Amino acid sequence: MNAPSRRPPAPHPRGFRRSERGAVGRILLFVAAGLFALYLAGATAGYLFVRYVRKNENIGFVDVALLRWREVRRGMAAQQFAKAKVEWDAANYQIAFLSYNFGVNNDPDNIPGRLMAAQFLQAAGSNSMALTTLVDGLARAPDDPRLIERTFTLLNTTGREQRALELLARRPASAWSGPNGPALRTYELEATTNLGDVAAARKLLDQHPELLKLPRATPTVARMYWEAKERLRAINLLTAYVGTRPEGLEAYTQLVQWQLSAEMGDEAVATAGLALEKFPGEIAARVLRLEALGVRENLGPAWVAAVGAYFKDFGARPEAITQLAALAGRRGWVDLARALYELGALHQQNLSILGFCYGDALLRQGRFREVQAVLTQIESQAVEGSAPFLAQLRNRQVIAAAALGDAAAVRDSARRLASVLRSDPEGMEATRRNFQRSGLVAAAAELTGRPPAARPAVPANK
Amino acid sequence: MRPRFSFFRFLAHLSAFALVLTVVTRSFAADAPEAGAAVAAGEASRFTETQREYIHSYILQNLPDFPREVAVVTVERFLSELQRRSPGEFDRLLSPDFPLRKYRSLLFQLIGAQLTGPAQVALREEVARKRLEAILESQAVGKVVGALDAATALAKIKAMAPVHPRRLVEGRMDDDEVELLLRKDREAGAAPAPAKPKVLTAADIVAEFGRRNQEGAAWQKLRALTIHSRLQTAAGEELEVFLLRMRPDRFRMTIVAAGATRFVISYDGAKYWQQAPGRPAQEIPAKTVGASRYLSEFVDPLVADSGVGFERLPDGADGAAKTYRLSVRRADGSTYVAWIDQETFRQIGRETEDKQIIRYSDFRMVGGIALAFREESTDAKGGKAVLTLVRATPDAGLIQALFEPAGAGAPDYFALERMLAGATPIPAK
Repeated sequence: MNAPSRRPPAPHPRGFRRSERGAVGRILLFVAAGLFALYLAGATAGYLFVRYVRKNENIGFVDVALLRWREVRRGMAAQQFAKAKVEWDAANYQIAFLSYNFGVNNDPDNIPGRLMAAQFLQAAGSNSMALTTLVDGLARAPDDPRLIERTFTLLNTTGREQRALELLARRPASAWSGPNGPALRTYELEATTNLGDVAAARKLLDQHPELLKLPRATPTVARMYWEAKERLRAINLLTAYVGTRPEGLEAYTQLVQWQLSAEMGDEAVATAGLALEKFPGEIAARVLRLEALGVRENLGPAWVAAVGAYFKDFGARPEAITQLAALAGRRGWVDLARALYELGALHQQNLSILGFCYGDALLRQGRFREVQAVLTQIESQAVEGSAPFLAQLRNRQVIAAAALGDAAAVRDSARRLASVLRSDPEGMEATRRNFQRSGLVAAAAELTGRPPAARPAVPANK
Repeated sequence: MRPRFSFFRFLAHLSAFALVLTVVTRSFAADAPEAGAAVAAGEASRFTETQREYIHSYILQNLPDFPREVAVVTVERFLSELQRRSPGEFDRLLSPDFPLRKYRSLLFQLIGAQLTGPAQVALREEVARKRLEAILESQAVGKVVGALDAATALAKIKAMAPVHPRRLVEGRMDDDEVELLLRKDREAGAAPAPAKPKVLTAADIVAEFGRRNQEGAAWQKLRALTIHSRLQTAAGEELEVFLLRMRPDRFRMTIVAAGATRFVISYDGAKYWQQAPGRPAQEIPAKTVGASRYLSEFVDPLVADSGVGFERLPDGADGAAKTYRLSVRRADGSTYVAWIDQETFRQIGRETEDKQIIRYSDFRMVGGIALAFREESTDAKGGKAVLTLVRATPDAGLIQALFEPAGAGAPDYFALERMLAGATPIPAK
């Protein structure tokens, strides 16, 4: 057996000697240890900062040390969302705003948080920023049904149908064939109908007959038929829908209005009865029944008894008088509107709205000069009225002036209305459309500060 | 065994450390990124929607009744001013450590400048009080300054020359001016007694009365006034009185006893009429209306533009208060004697032709005018009645129809009132 041969150590390829190599290794080891210590110190400082300065109790040291910064931000955002809700409930809007803003920016994928932030912004009166928040969310989670519903509902109910159609046009084909397809198509139909483009809405419905079978689309489809002057079809469709006792009073209200205008008093009372069964504690449902009953009974004793019952149940609520006065105004019941104004004068501080209701009743009765006088008296006492109030006032002034054939007054009032609505382009556009629909062309012309954009095309094959 | 050294591991640790430092610094230094995906620049504004909404949320928190459309203008001005004065701090606007309290006074000043109408007097005063609170806070660092201090300061400023409170509430007074006023007030104790005032004529007193009992030309601007009060009659009966008045001379007085209207008396500009439950409205001759006809005087004769004559009578005293006594002669020839407090120039009493003495107290500003919230009248036989105002509302939106007799439609006002009286109370939460 051969003894292992002892070979001399091979020379270092770069010519270092053993002792030199050891020294360099030690130095590097010290540096590494130092850096590791620094890393630990940095991570600890970061953790302490987040945990105790930012008071985030959900953060662990490991999250910071292992660079799970996304989780860190999410944790902080969740805490800010919770804080924002608390502050909102306590009416600390400034802090709530900051917290929601922080939360949304740090965790943009937190959909419940984003929805809550949008709700807060809407409550604070900023529909436009709420919309920005929702649309940004939709860009990140295009298939989230909650975001879709909130975004398009907000767009279609605040006069932003054009924008809704633009957003819909940008959606990929897969979105239309997926589970959200029917909802998207419903919003498209709704926006198109709201814009008054009945032909396009009809075409859309013809291309997508499945909407006829979709319960959530039924009220929109019925409204399209109504606008297309197929009134009986609209009433029948909505009657069938209301028969399923849907949630939401709007469908019942719409049907009662249509039935009353088609002189179907008994059916209207029956529909209002269904609404009352579904929403027994809702003042609006009771007023709806009073409306149907009042028209059918021509304000007879049965109706008076119903008013008595209404006051018994809802008279303690501050809005009871105003709701009934609004009905009297809508229906042209002048004496009732006047009596409610007298009653309101003893219970309410601001009587302008009751005055408007009285003016509306006069308008319905064709007493246009009196309407103008009422509006002038209210205007003289509202030098610095809020924009919504002034918009209501000017709107009525335009209508009264138009009814009297006073073209100069129509233009003047419309110009003043445009000035009130200057900061609300969507409101301006909605009012312009209303005027256009009512044949008030001169008034509509004064409101064309921003020409309506062409309707974006949503390809049918999507 | 000696630990093995890996250069790559070392590099990895080094990078990780650098990354931690970067992430921690960048993520947490600024609480709210200025321009995130959710923030869109406003089309008509130089500022982002987030910046504007942030300031608006602060306004909403402090003044929930401040109209949003007015707030839009205020916010824009505030941000412009902030950017101009301190761009550095403006950049930190959306961070939680932004010292918004430091700029509260400026914000309230700009808000006050936006509130111009007579119906916004209360809100304007509230804004001025909050502004004073902010200024006092900045003066007394470390001390708690409550709303009471600010209210006291506001009351003191209001007692100065009328131009000061007016400029303060209208947001036309800068902080240094306010501070100067507050300093003057503190030094006032050491100031020498004012010179003896000159002897005032009836016209001087009336002019001073007009100046002291309204803000600017508030009486002139006021179109309508509604007053809800409680009356304790000389016979000890408790009644509610609702008085609605509209320019130039309309009035409607509703007397309510135990929740039900006893009668309504009104003037529609041509005739007086009265209505009671179960009876149609009846016209009543002017001569039988009595002293109620003076309810059609929308403006107090002491601030009326014309048609009223004044004569100074020997001064009097009512309790501790020294009074000027003025004989006031209306256009119809009737007269009364007004007692004007020599210190405050409030009308603290009246002697009527039928020997009735009315004493006014508890003055409060409503719609820019001074109203007595308590009236105590003593008739010639010594019977006393007390009227206490519950609420007074300027320019509530009254219309002419209210002052005219109602039609015969059912249900009428009285029927509706009966129905409303049977309302089931809202259950307590």
